[in-house]
Amino acid sequence: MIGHSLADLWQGFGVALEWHNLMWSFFGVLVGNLIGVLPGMGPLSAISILLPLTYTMHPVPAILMLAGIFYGSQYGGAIGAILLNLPCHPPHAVTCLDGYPMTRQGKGGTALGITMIASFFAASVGIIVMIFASPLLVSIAFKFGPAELFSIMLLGLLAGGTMSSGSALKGVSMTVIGLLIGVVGTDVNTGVMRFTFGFNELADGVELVALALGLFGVTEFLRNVNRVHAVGSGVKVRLRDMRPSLKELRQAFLPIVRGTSVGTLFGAMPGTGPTITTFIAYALEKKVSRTPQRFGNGALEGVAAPEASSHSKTQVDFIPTMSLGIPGDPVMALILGALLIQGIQPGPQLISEHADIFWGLIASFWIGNLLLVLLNVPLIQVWVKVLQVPYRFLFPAALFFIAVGVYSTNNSLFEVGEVLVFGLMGAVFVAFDFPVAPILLGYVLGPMVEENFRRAMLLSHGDLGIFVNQPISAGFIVACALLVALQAWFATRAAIRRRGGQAAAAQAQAPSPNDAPRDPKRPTLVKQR
Amino acid sequence: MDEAGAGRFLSGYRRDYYGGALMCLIGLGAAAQGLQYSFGSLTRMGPGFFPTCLGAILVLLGFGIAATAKRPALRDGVPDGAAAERPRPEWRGWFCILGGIVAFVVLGKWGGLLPASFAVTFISAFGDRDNTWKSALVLATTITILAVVVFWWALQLQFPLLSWG
Amino acid sequence: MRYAMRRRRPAAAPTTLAAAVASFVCASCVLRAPAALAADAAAHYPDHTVRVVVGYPPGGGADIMARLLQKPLSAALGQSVIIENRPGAGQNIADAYVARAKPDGYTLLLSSSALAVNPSLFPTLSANPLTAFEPVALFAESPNLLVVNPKLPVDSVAALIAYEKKRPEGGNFSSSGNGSTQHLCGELFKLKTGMKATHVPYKGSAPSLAAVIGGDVDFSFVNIPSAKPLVLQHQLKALAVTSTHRSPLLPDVPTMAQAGVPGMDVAAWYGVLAPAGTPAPIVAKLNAVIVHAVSGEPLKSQLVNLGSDPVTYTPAGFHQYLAADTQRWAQIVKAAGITPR
Repeated sequence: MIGHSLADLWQGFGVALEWHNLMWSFFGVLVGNLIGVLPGMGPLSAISILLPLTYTMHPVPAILMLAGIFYGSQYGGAIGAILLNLPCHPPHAVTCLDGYPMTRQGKGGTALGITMIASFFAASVGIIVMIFASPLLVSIAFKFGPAELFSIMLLGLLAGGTMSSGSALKGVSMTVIGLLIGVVGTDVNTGVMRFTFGFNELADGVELVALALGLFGVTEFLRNVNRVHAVGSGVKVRLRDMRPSLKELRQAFLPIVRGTSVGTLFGAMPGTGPTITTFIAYALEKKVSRTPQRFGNGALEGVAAPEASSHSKTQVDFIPTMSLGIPGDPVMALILGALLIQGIQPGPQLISEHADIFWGLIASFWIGNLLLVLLNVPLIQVWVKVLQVPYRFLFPAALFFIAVGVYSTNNSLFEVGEVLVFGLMGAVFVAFDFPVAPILLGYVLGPMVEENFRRAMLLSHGDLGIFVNQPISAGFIVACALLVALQAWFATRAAIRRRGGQAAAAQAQAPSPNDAPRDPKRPTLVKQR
Repeated sequence: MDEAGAGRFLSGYRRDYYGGALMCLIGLGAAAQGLQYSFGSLTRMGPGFFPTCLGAILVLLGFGIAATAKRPALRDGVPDGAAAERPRPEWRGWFCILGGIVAFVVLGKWGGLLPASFAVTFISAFGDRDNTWKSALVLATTITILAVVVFWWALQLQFPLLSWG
Repeated sequence: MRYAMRRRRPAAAPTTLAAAVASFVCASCVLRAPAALAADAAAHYPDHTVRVVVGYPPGGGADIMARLLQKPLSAALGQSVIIENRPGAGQNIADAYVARAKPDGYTLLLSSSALAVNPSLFPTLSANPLTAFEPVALFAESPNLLVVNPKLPVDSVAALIAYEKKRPEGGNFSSSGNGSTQHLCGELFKLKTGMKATHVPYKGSAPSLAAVIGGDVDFSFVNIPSAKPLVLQHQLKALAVTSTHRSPLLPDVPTMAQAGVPGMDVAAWYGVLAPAGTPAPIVAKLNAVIVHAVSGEPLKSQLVNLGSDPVTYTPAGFHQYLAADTQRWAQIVKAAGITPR
């Protein structure tokens, strides 16, 4: 079985390395990477623009190019997140949390380097899983019914709700706000429009890209305008900091592995996008770490794990599409559509009927990822120079890119308006010292939690036992209960300890990260008047 | 409000207290709106069940945040450097950034890609006190040219260069 | 522009007669002008890019139809044809956008049958399909396929009905969303057979299909091309198609009428529409082009491969079809007890 697959893979490499196919693969990867750097313009826009090109092409180079755009765009997105706190796409929002502080410490290049390595590793693992474990993953995926999905998402919510540094109450309330934003739109189960206030454009909910770019981009501009001279100013970027050191590599290794497993596991699950996996990978790292207080201030693990999970998820996403013909997310649906237009029906018979496409595709994943690493690593130096551009030029340009990028998602000016609203909202919350990242978590997980709970109730005709009767679901519910219990235990213990400490001489409570200068060692970035 | 006064308004105790109040307000609004939809029961949830519950939870959290806001007496122990560091509100910057986006949306509909790109960059550039008319103009023009070449021509963005309504 | 302008010597005629004649002449000029203008526009149509607006994201069913049509349309018209996706609100946003657009034939709507269903579901939000648009061409009909999970001990529609009726609380069926044709097919099925079944909506046809494969629901009405490979691999059992004739993709599967449930030949359709007021010559030209494309290769076999029947209608025929379809869906929605919002 394995030998058979390896033989097919070898043939696949033969197909993928054909000059013609390689050229188109490279083109797709390049376009995807460039589009990935532009905020808001995701693989969806890029693929739909280049789709007409594929009509006259042979199916093999066509699918190679489109796939290249898809995973290529994942590489570019981390750059903005790390260097400018501007996630170009929602899956990179979590990378901002630790990537941007690293840039402010002058380690932006290191963060980017680790991201590249994490991406390549995760993609490779994803590809291996695709080759050898496809049928297994697919059968696992079908075991996840609404009850299981509910339990997992609930666990993700509970774990992620405490992921941000600072007051836990504030983090949880932001998660709830995110959950409320997720309610906006048409209720799946009854078709009723909720919180749309008469706006037809909100019938499908708030656009994720608009939310992410508003909360992370516009909020950040509102916070920094007239207060920051240049993102990288005052900090000398040493050549040493452009490349990750051996120590850093060792530090990042296990997080990369953990992040990859999270992404691979979730890859099988239908309806989950890469954004969810990044939050869970981040929360997992924070829980597992011995020094969780470093998270939010430039912890390398906080960059490596989410990026790894996002990339492995992207690769594994192809499995249900290729082997069943059931697309896992909108981009896959589009690629599927492209195949249909070519007259190729993805599904169980794809491997046998069009072996060259399937194995050529898999081989091209590797080649493409390698090309991306080779392309991006030298470019790190170029991107880091962007930090030297004065902020007064940077933010209007970035604002323009955000506006156009968000518009291009659905050709809708209303969504650009959404960016405005969320930017303002985020700025208000930040002024009150609320963390903004959990809003995105709540938004992404909330609808899944509610939808699956109600669906499970529909299917079981009102029997609440469905959550504990099925083994997988029961397991996750127990994990949720344990998590809540542990949190409560630690909280009460800390409160008791604090009560005792207050009785002693007044001990100043450690200032939260936002109302003190970020780091006494780092020079302040306030403009000199 | 002098600089220190403005800074102190949103610092420490007051910040947490009003933050909690904000959460309560949002929670109440959400719950009120959620009750407009049918509520149902736990096993037969209507569309209003989830948002109302969330609103209620948010109100509770808001109370919690306000209640655990450090009392002023305790806050005095903290070195005042924390409060005074808080920079003053940047009304000019904020108006220009938000105004720039509004301009993009409005001019996007009544104008087209060209005026919209120019406006968003030009107006938001004025948010920064160091930008002069000339620098803003140059930046806006460069960005507009970029918009036409990269987005409209190369990427075939579906946004007419000039249109009305 | 030439229009006959009859002049009479006003010499001996009384002034009132002259005035009457003059006004008649002016009126005829004014009335003829737009017709003449239109004829002229049609002669020059199209002289720049034509936009086809689709109310679904790229990769959705209607989007694929639009892209298939793009090449032959562009070749026949001699101008480039661009697809513009404006997804949202079950195609309502795209509908509203095209209804407001200038009726010059350069903005077209590629619509699915949701256009006929929406007025019953969203009475206040939807454009009236008959008054807001000028139907141009209906070119494809897509029947649904009734599938069941293979683990169920049923091999035919009759067996399924019996199985469901035996269950005290009824079974479950999935659909791609509230108000979708899959949902309404299911409701019609329940009405015709008197069975009880709970509708479980999903977001889109992919998870709906996955639900049947996974066994969460008993049956579902799905679209044929996605289901066909799964049927062939025995991950799904196909029981019937909702059309008047068997599908060439699955010739062994009977129609609903043949399987014992008549009156269920409901199909989703795809058509092109223009904003109301688009000049008739332009509509006629577009119709001719589309009909020609659909009747020939490669579009014809592409449509068949996608599980659709290529059909041809005149604009007037499309208008009648649309009216009848809107009426029919309204009845189904009402009978199924789905409340409009």
